This record gives sequence, C-alpha cells and structure tokens, in this order.
Amino acid sequence: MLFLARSYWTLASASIREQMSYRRSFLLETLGKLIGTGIELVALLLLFERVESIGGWSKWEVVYLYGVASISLGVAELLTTGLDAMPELVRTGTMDGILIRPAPPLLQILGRDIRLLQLGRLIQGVGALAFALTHLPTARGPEALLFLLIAVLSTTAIYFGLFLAAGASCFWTVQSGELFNAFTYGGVQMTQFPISVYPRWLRDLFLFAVPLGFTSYVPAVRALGKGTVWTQWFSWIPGVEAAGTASPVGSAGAPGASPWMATVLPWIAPLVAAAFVYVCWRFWRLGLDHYQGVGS
Amino acid sequence: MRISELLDACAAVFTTAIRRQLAYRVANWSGLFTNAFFLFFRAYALRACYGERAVIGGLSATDIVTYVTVSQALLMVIPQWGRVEVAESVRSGQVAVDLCRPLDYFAAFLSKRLGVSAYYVLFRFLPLLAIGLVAGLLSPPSSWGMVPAFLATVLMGAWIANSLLFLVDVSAFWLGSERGLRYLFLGAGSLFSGLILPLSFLPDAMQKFSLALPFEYTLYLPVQVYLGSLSGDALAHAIAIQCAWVAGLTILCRAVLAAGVRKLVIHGG
Repeated sequence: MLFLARSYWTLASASIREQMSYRRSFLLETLGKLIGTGIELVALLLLFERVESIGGWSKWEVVYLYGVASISLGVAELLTTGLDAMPELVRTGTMDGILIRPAPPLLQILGRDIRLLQLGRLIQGVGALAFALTHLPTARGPEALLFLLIAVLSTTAIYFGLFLAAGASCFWTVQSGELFNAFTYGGVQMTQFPISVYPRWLRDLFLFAVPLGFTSYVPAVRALGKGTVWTQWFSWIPGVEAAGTASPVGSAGAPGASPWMATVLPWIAPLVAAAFVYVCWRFWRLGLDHYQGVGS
Repeated sequence: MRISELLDACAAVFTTAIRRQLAYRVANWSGLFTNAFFLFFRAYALRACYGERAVIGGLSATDIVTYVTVSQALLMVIPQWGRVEVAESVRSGQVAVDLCRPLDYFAAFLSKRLGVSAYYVLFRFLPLLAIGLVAGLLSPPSSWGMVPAFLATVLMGAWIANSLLFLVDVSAFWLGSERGLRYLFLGAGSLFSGLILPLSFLPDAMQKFSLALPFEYTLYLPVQVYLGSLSGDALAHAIAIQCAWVAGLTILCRAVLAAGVRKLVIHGG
C-alpha cells in the first residue's frame, strides 16, 4: 500500500513540478479555465435576476447545488486528466511500456498528468459554495456540513468512475470517449439545478443508473432541510413502500412522503458511489485483459 | 488566381472536408448522444423557471424550449469553441508548407470549416431537431417564409464563428500558448452568443454591450429568425450588421495572418 502511494506521488509530483516551472503559462491557463467554467455561474446569477425560484429552490440553494457539482467535477478532473491520453497511449503503443512496469497501469496513467489548470473549475466552485453558505445560515450547522461533505465526496467518486470508464472504453475503440461527456460535463450541467425539474426518465437515469443525482441531490436536500416529498421517487423499491406511504405528523404532508427514507437515504450515498466506482473499475480491468498490445 | 479558379478550388476543399468528416461516424454518434443530453438538461431547467410566469425576456415557455433545441442543434454548425488546426500547424512548422500552396490560406481554411459545418447540418442539426420534435421541445418555425433568412444567417454565422476561432489560433504566431485567449473567447462566446441563456434574459446594460460584440451574430441571430423575434426593418438591420461582421472579420483575419507570416519569415522560417 505504501509502495503504491509512493509510486503515485513520485509521478504526480513530477507532473506538478513540470507545470509549475512554466509558471506564467500555468496561471494563465488556470485563469482561463476559471473564466470558461465560471461563466455558467455568472449566467445562473443573471437568471436569478429574472426569476425568484426554480423548481421551488431559491437562488442561494441553487448556487449551493452548483457549488457541489463544480467542486466534485473539479477534483475528479484534477485527478483523472491522465486518462485523457488513453487514445494516444493505445494508438502509439506506449501502453505496452506501461504494462511491463512494476506499478499498476492505472496508477501510472493517473500519475502522469495531474493537470493543475483544472483548479480553475475547483476555485469557482468553492467560491460559489462559500457565497451560498453565507446566505444560508441553516446550512452551516455541523450536521448540514457533514451531509455537504458526503455529497461532495460521493459525487467526486462518481465522476472519477465515469472518467475511468471513458478511459477504459479506449481499449476497444478510440472514437466513443465523447459518449461519457453526456454524463460528466452533462452531469455537472444537470445537477446544478434541482433534479425535480427533469422528467421522470431523466431523473431515474441520474438517480439509479449514473447516480449523480443521488449523491448530490439527496444529501443536499437533507443539508438544506428541504423536506421529504422527493422520497416518493424511491417508493418503487420493494419493501420500502410500506414504510414509505406513512404520512406522520411533521413530514412535508404530501402522500408518499417519508421522513424515515429521508433520514436513511442520504447516508446511503457513499455506498451507492462506491458500488458505481467498483463497476467502473471492473470495466477497466476487463479492458486491460482484453488489450492485446500493438505489434506482435 | 482568377475568380473561377478560386471558387473551383474552394469547392474542392469544401467537398473534401465533408468527405473527411464522414469517416468519423462513430465519433459523431457519440457526440450526438452527448449533444442530445445537453439539449434535454438545458431545456427542462430553463422551462422550470417559468412557474407562474408566462413570459421571460420576450419568450414564452414553449418558446424557450424551442430556443434551446434550435441553439443546441446549431452548436456544431456554428462552433463557439474548438481547435481549428492553425495553431498546431504554426507550432509544427507545417504552416510554412501550407502558405506555399496556390490557394489563399484563409480561403482554404474557410472552405474547409464551412465543409465541416455543412456535414454537421446533415448529421447534427437535423437529427437534433428531430429529437427535439419527438420530445415535444420543438415548435415549427414562426413562418416558413423565414427559411431563406434562416439559412443565410446560419451561413454567415458559421463564417463569423470560424473567423473568430481563426483569430484565436493565429495568435499562436505571437503567444507561446494561445490557451488563455482561447478560454476567454470560450467564456465570452458561450454567454454572448446566447448559448447558455437567451440574450433577452440578460440585464439591459449587458445586452447593449453584447451588440458591440460579434458573438450575437453567430448563433443568436439565426435562432431569433427561427422564432420570429425579428421581422421587417429590425431583421434587415440585424442581417446588415451580420454582413458587416463577415466582411470586417475576413479583412482582419487576412491582415493578422499576413502580419504573422511576416514575423515567421523574419525569424528565419
């Protein structure tokens, strides 16, 4: 384990030092990324000059969601930029060289490129979240912050899994990587708004298949204290329905709203994330086993 | 080169570009898939803003989803970002060879890029309109008489958009890395072309500012034509400004390129 950590750090620190040696370039690129991603935040704030709420969520609650989404994708991008090189690694045969070295291939590929400019997205995400928290006093308590942490860590893991899967797809074809952008860059676009605004099929896709909605929205609802109406989306899960249809005093009052589910589900987010990452990891292993190398 | 030879050469480059894009069929399917998802996300999110409101920025709830569908469908036809191979060509030195060719560099560049846009009209614009239609997110054009104006504004919009990308790339002659400038254009382009929000949603001051920029005349104008937001004198006025941007940017691009070439030669190219 220590060997793995040390190998990773050797590669990663080399990558970081290389970028820092072109300091002006690094600063300009990071600033550029910050502007390029931050423009969405600007647009969001401008939108709220015209409307007071979207899907029942106020301006700062939506900015909060935006912050969670941006930070999660930013961290994932920072860690997985190395996988962007997959098409080239496979095509040029460099992958063969990676495979004969004593460290795990994934670790080497990730460690080669810790692209610091990705901090641009992270910075504007942190800014957005901080800004939102100053306007949401109830979201600053220890319990709320715990759920915020759960949301960010779990969502980051899902994005990590998606980038891993996109990289793994290169073992078969280099042309289909863009497919995954629908879930990564699409996902960050989608999860900046409350998932309740989307139609059933989109909601279900992002709650249960690519669970970005689950890991960001569910804990966020808990952290912001937005009620329990949304729990009815989970009532189809067998065995849960019986408990779910109870409408005790103190709940949102709507049929199918379940405080019990609202209490339990946010804690499940990390497990959901772990399961998803495991599936992506298996896909990566499948790709590695399938890979036959370039010249024989 | 005589005009007829110039046009023949441009046409050849144009058709070759389309044929080259046809080889990337799988990549296009992946891109279409992703594009469709963005269409859905933006359309439903913006529609949710309407709530009790009937109209925001002059657009109704049905208008906004049509707006998103048409703008997303035009996304690849009128590119707001992307590498156009000029910067790489400068860095690798390939540009020296390209500049020796008999066809004017900028004319060849534009013919190639318009060929790519034509490909995307068939393989992104039309499919995405179909997807939007099936999902109930697309209304038919305000009037079918608008179609010629729509096609003209799309063509000129693509011309302007590609000229802007050219300017960003050509800065590689002077800047070590044009990435910073590229991101700036990405940010400004995304907002002021109406890609993220209809420009009528922006505060008045920003709308006035936007009129001084070319981005509005790339993507926003064709979508306005589709929705019928502009007609008569206002439409003629906007198209005239678009023509002015086409002419102005073409002259600017050629001038900047010439300056870059002079610099290249002086540095022992």
